[in-house]
Amino acid sequence: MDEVLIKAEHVSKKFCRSLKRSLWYGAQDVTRSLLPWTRQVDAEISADPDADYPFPALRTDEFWALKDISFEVRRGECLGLIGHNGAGKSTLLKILNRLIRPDTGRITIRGRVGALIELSAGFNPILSGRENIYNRATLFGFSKSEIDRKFDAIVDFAEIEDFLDMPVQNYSSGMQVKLGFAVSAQMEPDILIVDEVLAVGDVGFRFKCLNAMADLMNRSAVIFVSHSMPQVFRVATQVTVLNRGRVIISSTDVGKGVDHYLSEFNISSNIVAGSGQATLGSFHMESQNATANKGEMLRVAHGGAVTFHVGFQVDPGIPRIRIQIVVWNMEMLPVMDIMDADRRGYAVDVPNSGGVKVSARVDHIFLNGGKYILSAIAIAEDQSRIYCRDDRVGNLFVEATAASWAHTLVPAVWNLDN
Amino acid sequence: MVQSNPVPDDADRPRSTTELPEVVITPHAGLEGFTEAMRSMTRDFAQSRALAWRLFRRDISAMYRQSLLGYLWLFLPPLATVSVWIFLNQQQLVTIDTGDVPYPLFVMTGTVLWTAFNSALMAMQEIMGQARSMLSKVNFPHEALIMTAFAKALLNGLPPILLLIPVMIFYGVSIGPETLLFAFGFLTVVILGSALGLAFVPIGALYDDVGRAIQLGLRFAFFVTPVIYAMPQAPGLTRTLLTLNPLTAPLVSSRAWLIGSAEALPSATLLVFVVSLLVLALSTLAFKVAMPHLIERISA
Repeated sequence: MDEVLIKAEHVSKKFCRSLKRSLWYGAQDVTRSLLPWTRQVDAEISADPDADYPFPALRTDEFWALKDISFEVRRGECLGLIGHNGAGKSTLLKILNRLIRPDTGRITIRGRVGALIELSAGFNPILSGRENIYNRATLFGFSKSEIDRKFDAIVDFAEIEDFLDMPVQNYSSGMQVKLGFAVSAQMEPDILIVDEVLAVGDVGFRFKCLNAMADLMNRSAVIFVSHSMPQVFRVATQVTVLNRGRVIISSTDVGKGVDHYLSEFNISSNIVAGSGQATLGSFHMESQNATANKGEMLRVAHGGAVTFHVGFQVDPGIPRIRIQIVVWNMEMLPVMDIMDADRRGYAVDVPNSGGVKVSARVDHIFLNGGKYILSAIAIAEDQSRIYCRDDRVGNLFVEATAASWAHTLVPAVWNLDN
Repeated sequence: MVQSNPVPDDADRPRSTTELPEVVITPHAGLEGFTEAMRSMTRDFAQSRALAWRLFRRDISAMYRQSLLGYLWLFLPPLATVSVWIFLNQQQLVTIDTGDVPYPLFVMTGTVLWTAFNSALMAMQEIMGQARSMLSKVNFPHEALIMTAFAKALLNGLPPILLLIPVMIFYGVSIGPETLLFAFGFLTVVILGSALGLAFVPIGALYDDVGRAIQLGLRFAFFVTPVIYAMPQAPGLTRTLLTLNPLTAPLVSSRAWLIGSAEALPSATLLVFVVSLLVLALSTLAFKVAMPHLIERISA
């Protein structure tokens, strides 16, 4: 199926930094929109020679929240939209959902649009779950008979049978989100807009959501916004990386796009923390056939060995320190702590010069494929304080392709027992 | 893991592109914005009506759920106003000449009509505040909000009329064909209030000043409308002011048609009806056209 359901051409949107001005521009825009003989784009076209599309000029305090965005999505495809906070993702979704209008360009949309964006919109806290199901479903354009038909499926999906007639304000926040998702999941959209709403509810419900989404996605053209790279990998067929409203990279090679996003991410996370009584001196690491210095990325095959060489410069008066290396995933969750045989940091005496150099060899890196961030940490011998935590020592890229969300992939020796 | 499949079988049927409705999202584009708004209003009419009914029921049932007196609150405010003026008149603190019509009946009818006007205006004014979060999160036919507000205005306006019935019986007012005209006058009052309220919604969504000015204006308007007093026969500043007030004609006429208080002004009322209806329709259109700009500013 190759019908193009979403086609965006040169879409731009400007926002205003100052509230007072924003309201005043709003009043101007409203007035202008109500005068049938005006056209917005024709007015004040900028003379920017780099622009190959007529962009209106920015007014004082305005900036491009989105500039010159173009893409196409066909049925069955999924565009993963990634970028840091404030990159313009939500703005783009709002335009696609026809909540706000772009300032330039056009988007052609074929078919019914469903949005899994705001899961609690349209709820009235005083009313019961039953009443709210009807209200929310009507808001999304369901007819009464459609709701009657789908009511049981919604209640079943949301797992709220026992609380149907209780006011929604007494629901836990998790239950409210479940209810919201359950109603939205009943849509039969041709175009599905999904914002990062999936990390909700308990584990069982999350899987249920993901499966329901997968069903919806197969039938529609999807725009998917997420900060979770495993999710993007799993569902996206193409990615667009946004930064400050501009497209940085747009590719059908999802891995390439994600890599690009992650390398951007790195720059912004240079952190050195701790008491400052120790500072990172040298850092170096090697795998079987590659080496990397401080700040570089080391590629390693899954299961391969890596040796880390770490040097710290320690203040006088500290006789002994412990050193460890922590491995973080891209969501900044620690996934591996490299320690000594006693599951503590490796303890060493500090020589008079204050310079400490150690190395640690890990025989098998069993981390799942992907990019990881390394921190080198120096702590007091009794572990009471952190002298230095340097988060910019380098990155590890583990080469593995497996359909698994787990942090580690362990190749075991399997045997038939009967 | 057991998974409930929420999508019915017929959704598997592939739909061809030609069947699918196509929507083009562009920057606001002059006249096109209006034609587009009209097209979508026609297309979405069934949905917006269903939604309006749903929102209406939601608001009504939620309105009095946290209340002991409940629907009694529909009757209390007009009763309070009426009592005050009857008291003032009986104690001769304020002397008001209403001709042959008993003052309580006169002031009650006036108050009923004023309440209808007032609540229609306020219902429209409250649209943006009440639906703010919904508007900035979900795309739905916005005209449903106007229908809901209009229905709420009617609902708030009707119960006080029920209060009138025993009073009319008490004073022996006969019901004739002119009573039907009262319904028309009443509707005109509600439409006028809605039109006035809605016209200022787009700009009021941006600036709070509008809402405050309207509150202030209403207090003033109460006294330059013949609600608690009769239209003076002698020419003068009062009469000129009252004649310029668009609410005067439908209010005076409705009261005349119901209780035979004074001369009705049928042609002026008809004019107000037509113009208000026109303003209401145009304001609805403007509301729809301006909405994306408003959402952009209120949710920013």
